Amino acid sequence: MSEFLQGNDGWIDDPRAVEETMNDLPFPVFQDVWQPLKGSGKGKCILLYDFIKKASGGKFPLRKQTVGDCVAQGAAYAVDAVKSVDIIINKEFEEWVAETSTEDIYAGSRVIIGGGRLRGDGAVGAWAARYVNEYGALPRGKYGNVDLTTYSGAKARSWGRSGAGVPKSLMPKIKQHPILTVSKVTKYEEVRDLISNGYAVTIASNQGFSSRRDSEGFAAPKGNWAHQMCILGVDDKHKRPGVLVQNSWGKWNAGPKRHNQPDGSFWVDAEEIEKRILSKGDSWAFSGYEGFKPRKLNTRII
Amino acid sequence: MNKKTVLIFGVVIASFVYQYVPVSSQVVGDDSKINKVSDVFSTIQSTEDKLTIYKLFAGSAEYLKNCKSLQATQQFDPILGRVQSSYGWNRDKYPEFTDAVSEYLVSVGYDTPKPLNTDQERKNFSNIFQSLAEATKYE
Repeated sequence: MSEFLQGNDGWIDDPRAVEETMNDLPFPVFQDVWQPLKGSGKGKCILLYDFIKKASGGKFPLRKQTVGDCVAQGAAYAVDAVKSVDIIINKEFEEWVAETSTEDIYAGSRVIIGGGRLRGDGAVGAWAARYVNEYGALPRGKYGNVDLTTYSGAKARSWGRSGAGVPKSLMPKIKQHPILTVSKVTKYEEVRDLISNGYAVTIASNQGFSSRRDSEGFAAPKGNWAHQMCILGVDDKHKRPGVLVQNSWGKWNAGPKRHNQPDGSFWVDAEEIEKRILSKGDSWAFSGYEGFKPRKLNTRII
Repeated sequence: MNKKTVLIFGVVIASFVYQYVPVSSQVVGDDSKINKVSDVFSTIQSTEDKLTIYKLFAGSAEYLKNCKSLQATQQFDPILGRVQSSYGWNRDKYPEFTDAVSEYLVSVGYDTPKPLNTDQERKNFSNIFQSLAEATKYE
Protein backbone atom coordinates (compact mmCIF):
# COMPACT_ATOMS: atom_id res chain seq x y z
CA MET A 1 0.00 0.00 0.00
CA SER A 2 1.30 3.45 -0.86
CA GLU A 3 1.83 5.86 2.01
CA PHE A 4 0.86 8.70 -0.32
CA LEU A 5 -2.75 7.78 -0.89
CA GLN A 6 -3.47 5.46 2.00
CA GLY A 7 -4.22 2.59 -0.36
CA ASN A 8 -6.21 4.63 -2.88
CA ASP A 9 -3.75 3.97 -5.68
CA GLY A 10 -6.46 2.31 -7.71
CA TRP A 11 -5.19 -0.45 -9.95
CA ILE A 12 -7.24 -3.63 -9.75
CA ASP A 13 -5.25 -6.81 -10.32
CA ASP A 14 -7.71 -8.89 -12.31
CA PRO A 15 -6.12 -11.08 -15.01
CA ARG A 16 -9.50 -12.46 -16.03
CA ALA A 17 -10.86 -8.97 -16.67
CA VAL A 18 -7.76 -8.22 -18.75
CA GLU A 19 -8.32 -11.36 -20.78
CA GLU A 20 -12.00 -10.56 -21.37
CA THR A 21 -11.19 -6.98 -22.36
CA MET A 22 -8.56 -8.08 -24.84
CA ASN A 23 -10.95 -10.33 -26.72
CA ASP A 24 -12.39 -7.59 -28.90
CA LEU A 25 -9.17 -5.71 -29.63
CA PRO A 26 -7.79 -5.93 -33.20
CA PHE A 27 -4.14 -6.18 -32.02
CA PRO A 28 -4.47 -7.43 -28.45
CA VAL A 29 -0.84 -8.53 -28.09
CA PHE A 30 1.93 -6.32 -29.38
CA GLN A 31 4.28 -9.27 -29.81
CA ASP A 32 2.09 -10.48 -32.68
CA VAL A 33 2.68 -7.32 -34.67
CA TRP A 34 6.14 -6.44 -33.37
CA GLN A 35 8.24 -7.59 -36.32
CA PRO A 36 8.33 -4.29 -38.27
CA LEU A 37 9.58 -2.39 -35.21
CA LYS A 38 11.80 -5.06 -33.71
CA GLY A 39 15.21 -3.73 -32.72
CA SER A 40 14.46 -0.18 -33.89
CA GLY A 41 14.92 1.25 -30.40
CA LYS A 42 18.17 -0.53 -29.61
CA GLY A 43 20.81 1.88 -28.34
CA LYS A 44 18.50 4.88 -28.54
CA CYS A 45 17.41 7.49 -26.02
CA ILE A 46 13.91 8.84 -26.72
CA LEU A 47 12.22 11.21 -24.29
CA LEU A 48 8.49 11.51 -24.95
CA TYR A 49 8.12 14.02 -22.12
CA ASP A 50 10.19 16.46 -24.17
CA PHE A 51 7.59 16.23 -26.94
CA ILE A 52 4.83 16.96 -24.42
CA LYS A 53 6.78 19.97 -23.15
CA LYS A 54 7.29 21.22 -26.68
CA ALA A 55 3.73 20.62 -27.92
CA SER A 56 2.20 22.17 -24.81
CA GLY A 57 4.41 25.26 -24.91
CA GLY A 58 6.26 24.19 -21.78
CA LYS A 59 3.16 23.26 -19.78
CA PHE A 60 4.03 19.69 -18.88
CA PRO A 61 1.12 18.42 -16.77
CA LEU A 62 2.15 17.49 -13.24
CA ARG A 63 -0.81 15.34 -12.33
CA LYS A 64 -1.74 14.77 -8.69
CA GLN A 65 -4.53 12.28 -8.13
CA THR A 66 -6.73 12.62 -5.05
CA VAL A 67 -8.71 9.40 -5.41
CA GLY A 68 -7.94 5.91 -6.69
CA ASP A 69 -8.05 6.90 -10.36
CA CYS A 70 -4.42 6.15 -11.21
CA VAL A 71 -5.48 4.03 -14.17
CA ALA A 72 -7.01 7.10 -15.80
CA GLN A 73 -4.05 9.27 -14.80
CA GLY A 74 -1.56 6.90 -16.43
CA ALA A 75 -3.72 6.57 -19.53
CA ALA A 76 -4.06 10.36 -19.79
CA TYR A 77 -0.27 10.75 -19.76
CA ALA A 78 -0.06 8.20 -22.56
CA VAL A 79 -2.63 10.15 -24.59
CA ASP A 80 -0.70 13.38 -23.93
CA ALA A 81 2.44 11.70 -25.25
CA VAL A 82 1.01 10.28 -28.45
CA LYS A 83 -0.83 13.46 -29.33
CA SER A 84 2.42 15.41 -28.83
CA VAL A 85 4.29 12.98 -31.06
CA ASP A 86 1.59 13.41 -33.71
CA ILE A 87 2.06 17.18 -33.59
CA ILE A 88 5.85 17.44 -33.25
CA ILE A 89 7.21 14.38 -35.06
CA ASN A 90 4.47 13.26 -37.41
CA LYS A 91 3.68 16.91 -38.27
CA GLU A 92 -0.01 16.16 -38.28
CA PHE A 93 -2.23 19.13 -38.88
CA GLU A 94 -3.36 19.30 -35.28
CA GLU A 95 -2.87 21.48 -32.25
CA TRP A 96 -2.34 20.96 -28.54
CA VAL A 97 -5.43 22.15 -26.71
CA ALA A 98 -4.74 21.16 -23.11
CA GLU A 99 -3.65 18.17 -21.04
CA THR A 100 -5.92 15.14 -21.32
CA SER A 101 -8.77 14.95 -18.81
CA THR A 102 -8.98 11.93 -16.55
CA GLU A 103 -12.50 11.89 -15.11
CA ASP A 104 -14.11 10.67 -18.35
CA ILE A 105 -11.45 7.99 -18.88
CA TYR A 106 -11.94 6.76 -15.32
CA ALA A 107 -15.72 6.65 -15.59
CA GLY A 108 -15.73 5.16 -19.08
CA SER A 109 -13.27 2.46 -18.04
CA ARG A 110 -15.23 1.43 -14.98
CA VAL A 111 -18.79 1.80 -16.18
CA ILE A 112 -18.75 1.23 -19.95
CA ILE A 113 -15.90 -1.28 -20.28
CA GLY A 114 -15.91 -2.75 -16.75
CA GLY A 115 -19.69 -2.96 -16.65
CA GLY A 116 -19.94 -1.12 -13.33
CA ARG A 117 -18.93 -4.18 -11.38
CA LEU A 118 -16.52 -2.41 -8.96
CA ARG A 119 -17.72 -0.83 -5.74
CA GLY A 120 -14.66 0.97 -4.34
CA ASP A 121 -12.13 3.08 -6.27
CA GLY A 122 -9.98 1.62 -9.02
CA ALA A 123 -9.94 0.15 -12.49
CA VAL A 124 -8.13 -2.38 -14.65
CA GLY A 125 -5.41 -1.06 -16.99
CA ALA A 126 -6.93 -2.92 -19.93
CA TRP A 127 -10.27 -1.18 -19.35
CA ALA A 128 -8.74 2.26 -19.81
CA ALA A 129 -6.77 1.11 -22.86
CA ARG A 130 -9.85 -0.29 -24.50
CA TYR A 131 -11.98 2.69 -23.52
CA VAL A 132 -9.67 5.29 -25.14
CA ASN A 133 -9.40 3.04 -28.20
CA GLU A 134 -13.09 2.29 -28.59
CA TYR A 135 -14.33 5.72 -27.44
CA GLY A 136 -11.61 8.33 -26.99
CA ALA A 137 -10.20 11.05 -24.76
CA LEU A 138 -10.67 14.80 -24.47
CA PRO A 139 -8.38 17.63 -23.45
CA ARG A 140 -9.34 19.60 -20.37
CA GLY A 141 -11.92 22.25 -21.16
CA LYS A 142 -15.59 23.13 -21.02
CA TYR A 143 -17.99 21.07 -23.08
CA GLY A 144 -21.44 22.60 -22.88
CA ASN A 145 -22.46 22.41 -19.25
CA VAL A 146 -19.76 19.86 -18.43
CA ASP A 147 -16.69 21.51 -16.96
CA LEU A 148 -13.51 19.43 -17.23
CA THR A 149 -11.18 22.42 -16.97
CA THR A 150 -9.68 21.41 -13.63
CA TYR A 151 -9.08 17.94 -12.24
CA SER A 152 -11.62 16.77 -9.70
CA GLY A 153 -11.15 13.47 -7.92
CA ALA A 154 -14.67 13.79 -6.54
CA LYS A 155 -16.10 14.10 -10.04
CA ALA A 156 -14.11 11.08 -11.20
CA ARG A 157 -15.41 9.06 -8.28
CA SER A 158 -18.97 10.24 -8.84
CA TRP A 159 -18.98 9.52 -12.57
CA GLY A 160 -17.24 6.21 -11.94
CA ARG A 161 -20.03 4.83 -9.77
CA SER A 162 -22.03 1.92 -11.06
CA GLY A 163 -25.06 3.34 -12.81
CA ALA A 164 -23.46 6.75 -13.33
CA GLY A 165 -20.80 6.98 -16.07
CA VAL A 166 -19.61 9.61 -18.53
CA PRO A 167 -22.28 12.28 -19.16
CA LYS A 168 -24.13 11.39 -22.36
CA SER A 169 -23.59 14.85 -23.83
CA LEU A 170 -19.81 14.24 -23.82
CA MET A 171 -19.84 10.99 -25.73
CA PRO A 172 -20.18 12.37 -29.28
CA LYS A 173 -17.18 14.66 -28.64
CA ILE A 174 -15.13 11.89 -27.05
CA LYS A 175 -15.79 9.58 -29.98
CA GLN A 176 -14.17 12.07 -32.34
CA HIS A 177 -10.83 11.61 -30.58
CA PRO A 178 -9.88 7.97 -30.10
CA ILE A 179 -6.48 6.41 -29.63
CA LEU A 180 -5.99 4.48 -32.85
CA THR A 181 -4.61 1.19 -31.50
CA VAL A 182 -3.76 -0.33 -28.13
CA SER A 183 -1.79 -3.54 -27.54
CA LYS A 184 -0.55 -5.38 -24.49
CA VAL A 185 3.23 -5.38 -23.91
CA THR A 186 5.20 -7.74 -21.72
CA LYS A 187 8.91 -7.22 -22.54
CA TYR A 188 11.38 -4.37 -22.09
CA GLU A 189 12.51 -4.68 -25.71
CA GLU A 190 8.94 -4.17 -26.87
CA VAL A 191 8.61 -1.06 -24.72
CA ARG A 192 11.97 0.23 -25.96
CA ASP A 193 10.99 -0.19 -29.61
CA LEU A 194 7.52 1.25 -29.06
CA ILE A 195 8.70 4.38 -27.23
CA SER A 196 11.37 4.88 -29.90
CA ASN A 197 8.62 4.93 -32.49
CA GLY A 198 6.48 7.45 -30.64
CA TYR A 199 4.10 5.15 -28.82
CA ALA A 200 3.44 5.54 -25.10
CA VAL A 201 3.04 2.71 -22.61
CA THR A 202 0.90 2.49 -19.48
CA ILE A 203 2.18 0.15 -16.79
CA ALA A 204 0.26 -1.42 -13.93
CA SER A 205 1.34 -3.69 -11.11
CA ASN A 206 1.65 -4.05 -7.36
CA GLN A 207 5.28 -2.96 -7.38
CA GLY A 208 6.25 0.16 -5.43
CA PHE A 209 9.41 2.28 -5.72
CA SER A 210 11.60 4.39 -3.49
CA SER A 211 10.76 8.07 -3.22
CA ARG A 212 14.49 8.83 -3.44
CA ARG A 213 16.19 8.71 -6.86
CA ASP A 214 19.78 7.51 -6.94
CA SER A 215 22.68 9.43 -8.49
CA GLU A 216 21.53 8.43 -11.99
CA GLY A 217 17.85 9.24 -11.49
CA PHE A 218 16.75 5.64 -10.89
CA ALA A 219 14.38 4.60 -8.11
CA ALA A 220 14.84 1.21 -6.49
CA PRO A 221 11.88 -1.18 -6.21
CA LYS A 222 10.39 -0.81 -2.75
CA GLY A 223 7.04 -1.62 -1.16
CA ASN A 224 3.71 -2.41 -2.76
CA TRP A 225 1.51 -0.10 -4.78
CA ALA A 226 -1.57 -1.32 -6.61
CA HIS A 227 -0.90 1.33 -9.18
CA GLN A 228 -0.86 2.39 -12.83
CA MET A 229 1.69 4.87 -14.20
CA CYS A 230 3.04 5.76 -17.64
CA ILE A 231 6.36 5.29 -19.40
CA LEU A 232 7.41 8.55 -21.07
CA GLY A 233 10.96 7.79 -22.11
CA VAL A 234 13.55 5.13 -22.78
CA ASP A 235 17.32 5.30 -22.59
CA ASP A 236 18.84 2.21 -24.12
CA LYS A 237 22.23 3.78 -24.74
CA HIS A 238 22.96 4.49 -21.09
CA LYS A 239 25.16 2.04 -19.18
CA ARG A 240 21.97 1.17 -17.26
CA PRO A 241 19.28 0.74 -19.92
CA GLY A 242 15.89 1.67 -18.58
CA VAL A 243 12.64 3.55 -18.86
CA LEU A 244 11.37 6.83 -17.46
CA VAL A 245 8.24 6.26 -15.38
CA GLN A 246 5.91 9.19 -14.74
CA ASN A 247 3.83 8.99 -11.59
CA SER A 248 0.62 10.92 -10.85
CA TRP A 249 1.28 12.00 -7.27
CA GLY A 250 2.58 15.49 -8.00
CA LYS A 251 6.09 16.22 -6.74
CA TRP A 252 6.22 13.21 -4.46
CA ASN A 253 9.85 12.12 -4.87
CA ALA A 254 13.32 13.69 -4.82
CA GLY A 255 16.91 13.09 -5.81
CA PRO A 256 19.15 13.58 -8.85
CA LYS A 257 17.58 13.83 -12.30
CA ARG A 258 18.78 12.89 -15.78
CA HIS A 259 17.87 14.33 -19.20
CA ASN A 260 15.86 17.12 -17.52
CA GLN A 261 13.19 14.60 -16.54
CA PRO A 262 9.87 15.96 -15.17
CA ASP A 263 9.05 16.25 -11.47
CA GLY A 264 7.36 13.17 -10.10
CA SER A 265 9.23 10.83 -12.45
CA PHE A 266 11.98 8.25 -11.96
CA TRP A 267 14.03 5.85 -14.06
CA VAL A 268 13.60 2.10 -13.70
CA ASP A 269 16.17 -0.47 -14.81
CA ALA A 270 15.17 -2.51 -17.86
CA GLU A 271 15.24 -5.86 -16.10
CA GLU A 272 13.24 -4.52 -13.14
CA ILE A 273 10.48 -3.08 -15.31
CA GLU A 274 10.13 -6.36 -17.16
CA LYS A 275 10.35 -8.67 -14.18
CA ARG A 276 8.31 -6.67 -11.68
CA ILE A 277 5.74 -4.83 -13.81
CA LEU A 278 5.37 -5.91 -17.44
CA SER A 279 5.12 -9.54 -16.38
CA LYS A 280 1.87 -8.74 -14.56
CA GLY A 281 0.17 -8.58 -17.97
CA ASP A 282 -1.71 -5.28 -17.72
CA SER A 283 0.65 -2.84 -19.48
CA TRP A 284 -0.51 -1.22 -22.71
CA ALA A 285 0.98 0.55 -25.69
CA PHE A 286 -1.03 3.47 -27.12
CA SER A 287 -0.57 4.48 -30.76
CA GLY A 288 -1.66 7.69 -32.56
CA TYR A 289 -4.44 10.01 -31.46
CA GLU A 290 -7.20 11.47 -33.59
CA GLY A 291 -6.46 15.02 -32.55
CA PHE A 292 -7.81 18.52 -32.88
CA LYS A 293 -7.56 20.62 -36.00
CA PRO A 294 -6.46 24.20 -35.35
CA ARG A 295 -9.29 26.69 -35.32
CA LYS A 296 -8.60 30.21 -36.59
CA LEU A 297 -5.37 32.04 -37.31
CA ASN A 298 -4.54 35.52 -36.12
CA THR A 299 -5.11 37.99 -38.92
CA ARG A 300 -3.62 41.05 -37.20
CA ILE A 301 -0.24 40.27 -38.68
CA ILE A 302 1.17 43.72 -39.41
CA MET B 1 21.96 27.59 -36.73
CA ASN B 2 18.66 25.89 -35.96
CA LYS B 3 15.84 25.25 -38.44
CA LYS B 4 13.71 28.18 -37.26
CA THR B 5 16.64 30.58 -37.57
CA VAL B 6 17.23 29.37 -41.12
CA LEU B 7 13.56 29.98 -41.96
CA ILE B 8 13.61 33.48 -40.50
CA PHE B 9 16.87 34.24 -42.25
CA GLY B 10 15.24 33.08 -45.48
CA VAL B 11 12.34 35.49 -45.10
CA VAL B 12 14.69 38.37 -44.28
CA ILE B 13 16.83 37.65 -47.37
CA ALA B 14 13.70 37.31 -49.48
CA SER B 15 12.49 40.66 -48.16
CA PHE B 16 15.68 42.39 -49.33
CA VAL B 17 15.73 40.67 -52.71
CA TYR B 18 12.08 41.14 -53.40
CA GLN B 19 11.99 44.91 -53.09
CA TYR B 20 13.47 45.10 -56.60
CA VAL B 21 11.16 42.53 -58.18
CA PRO B 22 7.89 43.60 -59.82
CA VAL B 23 4.82 42.01 -58.22
CA SER B 24 1.52 40.96 -59.67
CA SER B 25 -1.64 40.09 -57.77
CA GLN B 26 -3.07 36.61 -58.26
CA VAL B 27 -5.56 36.30 -55.45
CA VAL B 28 -9.21 36.21 -56.34
CA GLY B 29 -10.99 38.01 -53.55
CA ASP B 30 -13.01 41.02 -52.69
CA ASP B 31 -11.36 43.94 -54.52
CA SER B 32 -12.78 46.43 -52.08
CA LYS B 33 -10.78 44.83 -49.27
CA ILE B 34 -7.43 45.00 -51.02
CA ASN B 35 -8.24 48.48 -52.28
CA LYS B 36 -8.87 49.54 -48.72
CA VAL B 37 -5.45 48.18 -47.73
CA SER B 38 -3.96 50.32 -50.44
CA ASP B 39 -5.94 53.39 -49.41
CA VAL B 40 -5.05 53.16 -45.75
CA PHE B 41 -1.44 52.42 -46.63
CA SER B 42 -1.25 55.67 -48.56
CA THR B 43 -2.20 57.62 -45.43
CA ILE B 44 0.92 56.42 -43.59
CA GLN B 45 3.35 59.33 -43.47
CA SER B 46 6.63 57.56 -42.70
CA THR B 47 8.37 56.51 -45.90
CA GLU B 48 10.61 54.23 -43.85
CA ASP B 49 7.61 52.40 -42.40
CA LYS B 50 6.01 52.13 -45.80
CA LEU B 51 9.12 50.50 -47.19
CA THR B 52 9.30 48.10 -44.24
CA ILE B 53 5.67 47.05 -44.71
CA TYR B 54 6.22 46.44 -48.39
CA LYS B 55 9.39 44.44 -47.76
CA LEU B 56 7.64 42.28 -45.16
CA PHE B 57 4.80 41.38 -47.51
CA ALA B 58 6.93 40.98 -50.61
CA GLY B 59 9.55 38.94 -48.77
CA SER B 60 6.86 36.72 -47.31
CA ALA B 61 5.37 36.08 -50.75
CA GLU B 62 8.73 35.19 -52.24
CA TYR B 63 9.66 32.97 -49.31
CA LEU B 64 6.34 31.13 -49.24
CA LYS B 65 6.43 30.48 -52.96
CA ASN B 66 9.68 28.57 -52.63
CA CYS B 67 9.70 27.20 -49.10
CA LYS B 68 8.88 23.53 -48.78
CA SER B 69 9.63 23.11 -45.10
CA LEU B 70 6.28 24.44 -43.85
CA GLN B 71 3.54 21.85 -43.54
CA ALA B 72 0.67 24.16 -42.65
CA THR B 73 -0.25 27.82 -42.88
CA GLN B 74 -0.31 28.33 -39.14
CA GLN B 75 3.44 27.67 -39.00
CA PHE B 76 4.18 30.88 -40.86
CA ASP B 77 2.88 33.48 -38.41
CA PRO B 78 5.55 32.85 -35.73
CA ILE B 79 8.22 33.17 -38.44
CA LEU B 80 6.76 36.42 -39.71
CA GLY B 81 6.60 37.66 -36.13
CA ARG B 82 10.29 37.05 -35.63
CA VAL B 83 11.19 38.71 -38.90
CA GLN B 84 9.15 41.72 -37.85
CA SER B 85 11.04 41.82 -34.57
CA SER B 86 14.34 41.72 -36.43
CA TYR B 87 13.16 44.81 -38.34
CA GLY B 88 12.15 46.46 -35.08
CA TRP B 89 8.55 46.41 -36.29
CA ASN B 90 5.68 46.28 -33.80
CA ARG B 91 2.34 44.93 -34.93
CA ASP B 92 -0.59 47.32 -34.69
CA LYS B 93 1.70 50.32 -35.09
CA TYR B 94 -0.95 51.66 -37.47
CA PRO B 95 -4.17 50.11 -36.12
CA GLU B 96 -6.32 51.26 -39.03
CA PHE B 97 -3.90 49.65 -41.46
CA THR B 98 -3.79 46.47 -39.38
CA ASP B 99 -7.61 46.43 -39.47
CA ALA B 100 -7.64 46.78 -43.24
CA VAL B 101 -5.10 43.97 -43.70
CA SER B 102 -7.02 41.79 -41.27
CA GLU B 103 -10.28 42.31 -43.15
CA TYR B 104 -8.57 41.44 -46.39
CA LEU B 105 -7.04 38.29 -44.88
CA VAL B 106 -10.42 37.15 -43.59
CA SER B 107 -11.96 37.79 -47.01
CA VAL B 108 -9.46 35.46 -48.70
CA GLY B 109 -9.73 32.76 -46.03
CA TYR B 110 -6.30 33.24 -44.46
CA ASP B 111 -7.78 32.74 -40.99
CA THR B 112 -8.71 29.12 -41.70
CA PRO B 113 -5.62 26.95 -41.23
CA LYS B 114 -4.67 24.96 -44.30
CA PRO B 115 -2.03 22.38 -45.13
CA LEU B 116 0.91 23.33 -47.34
CA ASN B 117 1.67 19.98 -48.89
CA THR B 118 1.54 20.78 -52.59
CA ASP B 119 3.04 23.46 -54.87
CA GLN B 120 -0.46 24.76 -55.54
CA GLU B 121 -1.23 25.10 -51.83
CA ARG B 122 2.04 26.98 -51.31
CA LYS B 123 1.34 29.19 -54.31
CA ASN B 124 -2.16 30.02 -53.07
CA PHE B 125 -0.79 31.00 -49.69
CA SER B 126 2.04 33.00 -51.24
CA ASN B 127 -0.41 34.87 -53.47
CA ILE B 128 -2.16 36.33 -50.44
CA PHE B 129 1.06 38.07 -49.48
CA GLN B 130 1.83 38.92 -53.08
CA SER B 131 -1.45 40.84 -53.30
CA LEU B 132 -0.61 42.66 -50.10
CA ALA B 133 2.81 43.50 -51.51
CA GLU B 134 1.26 44.92 -54.62
CA ALA B 135 -1.19 46.95 -52.56
CA THR B 136 1.62 48.39 -50.50
CA LYS B 137 4.26 48.85 -53.17
CA TYR B 138 5.98 52.08 -52.31
CA GLU B 139 7.64 54.06 -55.03
